[in-house]
Amino acid sequence: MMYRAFGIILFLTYSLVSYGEDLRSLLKKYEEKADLSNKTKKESLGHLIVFTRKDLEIMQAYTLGDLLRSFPLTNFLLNSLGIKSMGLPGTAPSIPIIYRLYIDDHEVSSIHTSSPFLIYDNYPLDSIDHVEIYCSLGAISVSNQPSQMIIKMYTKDPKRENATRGRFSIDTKKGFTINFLEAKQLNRYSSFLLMLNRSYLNFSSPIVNNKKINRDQERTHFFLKYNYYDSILEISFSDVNRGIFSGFSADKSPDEGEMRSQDGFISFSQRLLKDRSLKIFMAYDFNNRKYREKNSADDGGILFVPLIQPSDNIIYYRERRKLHKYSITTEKVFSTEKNKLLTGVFFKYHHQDPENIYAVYQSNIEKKDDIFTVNFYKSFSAYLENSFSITNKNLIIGGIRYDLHKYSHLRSHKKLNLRAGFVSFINEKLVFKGFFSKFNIIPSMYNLETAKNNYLEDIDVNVLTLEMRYTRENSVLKFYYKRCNVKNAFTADPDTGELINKKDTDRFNVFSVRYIHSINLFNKLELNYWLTDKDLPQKFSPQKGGYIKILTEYKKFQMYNELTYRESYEPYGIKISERFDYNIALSYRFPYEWYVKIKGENLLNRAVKVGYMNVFGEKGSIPVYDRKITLTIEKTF
Amino acid sequence: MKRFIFIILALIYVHTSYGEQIEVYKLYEIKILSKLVTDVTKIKNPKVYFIGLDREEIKAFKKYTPIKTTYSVEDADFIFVKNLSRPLKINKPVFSLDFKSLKYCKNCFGVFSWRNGRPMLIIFKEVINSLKIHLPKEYDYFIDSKKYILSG
Repeated sequence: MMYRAFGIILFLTYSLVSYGEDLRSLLKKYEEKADLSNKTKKESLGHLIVFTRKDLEIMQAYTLGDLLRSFPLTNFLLNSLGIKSMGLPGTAPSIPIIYRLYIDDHEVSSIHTSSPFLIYDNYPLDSIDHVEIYCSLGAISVSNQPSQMIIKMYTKDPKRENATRGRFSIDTKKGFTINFLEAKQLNRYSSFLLMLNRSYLNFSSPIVNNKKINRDQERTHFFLKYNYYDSILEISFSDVNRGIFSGFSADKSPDEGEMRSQDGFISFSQRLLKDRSLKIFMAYDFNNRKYREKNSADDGGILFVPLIQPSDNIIYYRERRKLHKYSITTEKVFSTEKNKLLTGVFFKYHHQDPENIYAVYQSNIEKKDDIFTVNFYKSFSAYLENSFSITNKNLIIGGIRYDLHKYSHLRSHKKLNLRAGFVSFINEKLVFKGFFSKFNIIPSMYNLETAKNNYLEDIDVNVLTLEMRYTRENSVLKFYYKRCNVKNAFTADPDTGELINKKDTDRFNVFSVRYIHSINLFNKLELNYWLTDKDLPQKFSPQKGGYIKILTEYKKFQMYNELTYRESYEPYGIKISERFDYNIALSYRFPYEWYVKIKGENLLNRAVKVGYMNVFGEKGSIPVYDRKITLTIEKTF
Repeated sequence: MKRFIFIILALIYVHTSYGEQIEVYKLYEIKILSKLVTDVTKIKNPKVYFIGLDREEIKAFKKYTPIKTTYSVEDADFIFVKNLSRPLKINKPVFSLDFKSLKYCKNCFGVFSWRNGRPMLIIFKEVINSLKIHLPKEYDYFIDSKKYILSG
């Protein structure tokens, strides 16, 4: 605290004698220091990558997917349902359970599958101020759900918007988006933000087994936030209708199919006490999902695991699921000059309405409603995390959480998660961080429904992360290392396709280096290279990657250049050479606050691909990203 | 001895200012506003008058800038306004700290506030010409027509 106060004195002394500073530089510095991410990010908790409001604007990141396509330490590829999902390097794209997505304080990952990407792979960022991605495994005060990576999207502060904004984007794939945003301060104590979005996203339809597969999307999103003193009410609704891509079809090419997902939530958060150190958060979520797939027996039918019968083929599958989630969190922070103790309790209850699942087999047998489902899941957690400053330059962090889980068909089980770490400022330029975490990732309801005997052990993760940050006047160099031991990971049984726990422990290392150089206040260069050594019999996705990003601003003009690299890989024995995804974005602000923006994606036509192989042995690769140009017109009123 | 006295004074300052610290970005805001006052008035000790600002905002301005404040409009060389709810007409340089107040302040020569997620500083060409305010060249980037803001 003393250092901070001294810092302010020095700053004031400097600032009061340096009146000659250019006004544009001053304004730019003001904008940087005032950025909302400075208030929300918890950098001491581990490896963190922040996309600020300015970054999102210059990058022309209109959807979450635009950010994740170049994100290091992971791949963002299409799974068989055509959903762009993050995945561990080297593994085949799937429905992941190790990523958690938040909108402000609310976790929005699917109630059924625990993956956020069904709705949020192309979630519009128009209402989002900045995005923080924590690679801090098991960080307790960042997320009350243990996970591998935590993505936090923070919504815009209406007080800083005071505007109504319309956006229209159209691209060369004949897709378009219309977005309306209004965010205003109503009076000194209340403000609101409203976002409405409608988009049609079209993608190339590759031909597999002589049939076109499609993943086009029709999206509607609504988001409302209302602030009153220290209370925040948020209401969100999303409706996404999409093609099912390969679905569960044996030939990777369904004859027909569609998937409609409707997700919504209402959340309320309240900060109490004079220092606002007590927080109460309540939320109700619902997920509705309708899925339909048809594939002829000649094409191998549908391989939907829980329904597979060796002697018969499924030729039609339909499901209508309704899920609900109720959650409540209470957190209290006790702060002294040297110590910060976070304590909290968290309870959530997932409920699945009686299912409407229907399947037709080749033999004309119909199967309805007698399929196993997890009816409910409830979990209770109590946690505390303490940060203690041994000296002004050394901080130690320790955390413990006790979890109690219960699935409708299983006995309740208890788990203890632990985390310990340090942050050490060697000098003004050099910082070291190290964390050790021992935590569990629990199976999703969907995992258990597709598991052998509907039972899976929790995944046990022990992880060590180390980070070094070296800062010079205009540049930052960061090294990141992670050692992971994963026990009981899930894998598909080679005979039945059902999920089982792996017997072996996965051990792997991850390394990343990131260099950020501010050429001047208006130009920034960023370089990254990462690799992992996970030993896999087959490399379904790249295990090495990196990027170069250049963010440029000149008066009313902005430009963004991004080149993402991924090493070669061999899914199903198909050799896919190195991938280079080049994107460029240009924008100009005209009078009356009209903006014209143009963005070119995958200009080299060498972005990442996913491999496939169907039951007939037909193999191939499909581009994840199309080469396209998007034109956007924005107007602020 | 001098060094010792300096350390004691610094510590006293630190302790007295503890708990009253403002966020760093607000210091930049104050610096920008102070610079504006100096560049517009072009006098050695300008006096500033505030209308509609919170007590904390005024306190911070007084604390972190050498510019003097006054409690009388007549005495003032420069006026900052915010949260106006009725028309204001003063024949002195008036500058708005929110967009809403522009509706009630025809002779405000500019505005500095957040809009569309970014801090915006706009100086109105028409008003500075009529008030004969001459600003240094570095302000050129911020000078725009008032109609761009009000009739958009």
